[in-house]
Amino acid sequence: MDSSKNFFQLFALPVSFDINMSKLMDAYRSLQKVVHPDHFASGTDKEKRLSIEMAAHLNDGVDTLKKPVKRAIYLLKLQGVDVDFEKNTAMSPMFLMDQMELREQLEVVSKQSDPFAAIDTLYERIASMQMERIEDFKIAYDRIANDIDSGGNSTNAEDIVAEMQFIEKLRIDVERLEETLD
Amino acid sequence: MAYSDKVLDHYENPRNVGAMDSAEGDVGTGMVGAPACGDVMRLQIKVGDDGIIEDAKFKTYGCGSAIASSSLVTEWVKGKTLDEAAEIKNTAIAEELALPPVKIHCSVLAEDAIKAAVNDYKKKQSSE
Repeated sequence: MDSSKNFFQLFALPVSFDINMSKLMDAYRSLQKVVHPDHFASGTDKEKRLSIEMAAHLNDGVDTLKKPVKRAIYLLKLQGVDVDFEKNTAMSPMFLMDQMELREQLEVVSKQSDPFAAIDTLYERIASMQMERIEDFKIAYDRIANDIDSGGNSTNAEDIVAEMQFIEKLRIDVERLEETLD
Repeated sequence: MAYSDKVLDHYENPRNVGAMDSAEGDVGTGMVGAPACGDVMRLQIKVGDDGIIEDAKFKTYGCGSAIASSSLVTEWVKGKTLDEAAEIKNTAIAEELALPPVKIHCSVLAEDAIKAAVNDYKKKQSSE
């Protein structure tokens, strides 16, 4: 296993936002068998250390490619674009207003007559918001990867990823609330 | 991670929570968000004819430090001119609340929110 390969190469996948999840998991499992530290129990210290490092690298890789937001950030990194969320607070006011409204809805879910129905409505809205961003991201990413000038009229890939991250955090909070309901 | 007493105080008794009518000419609204933690903050100021901030309100969805940072800023901006308010630095907020390094971005968010509110007010004034 070559640690200089990027995560897509590592799992023999094309470098793209759309990935074949079962291929990823198959490749992960077969590589995991090869590098598992148990095989090197009687090996040299160097071999043991390497197998631990490789196993960690594999886990890092599968975690990065499995999650849409992490995968998007990683794709941009491979293109030399570093996403720094800390510096990016000036998001679209429309987007932030939607987020505020969704947070307000989340806050009153437990007071609804049917909180589970309210949760489902939130999930649906979050999923469709995220789907829109993913489609936008793919277009923006293709432009970067193929070096096509957008003429300045397309949304920046980094801004789309920031919104994706935002929506993912909201989804996690909805999940947390759902767990407290039953 | 333990919150400082000042953060806890603002978190448990947030000052100036609420909303103003953002359509009013004397109200400036700042909306900011932190993608890393999903925090969203709305900070509003009401400005008198003399250019002094008369009142401030906030609504923040986020961690204790983000709520405390915005609560503190609403207290600080009252009685200040727009320029004085826009000069508030996140370092002063972080210091006052004794925020740990991992929560510094919450104070940055509050600084950005007040700047956004001041800019929104100024933009409204110049278009009238």
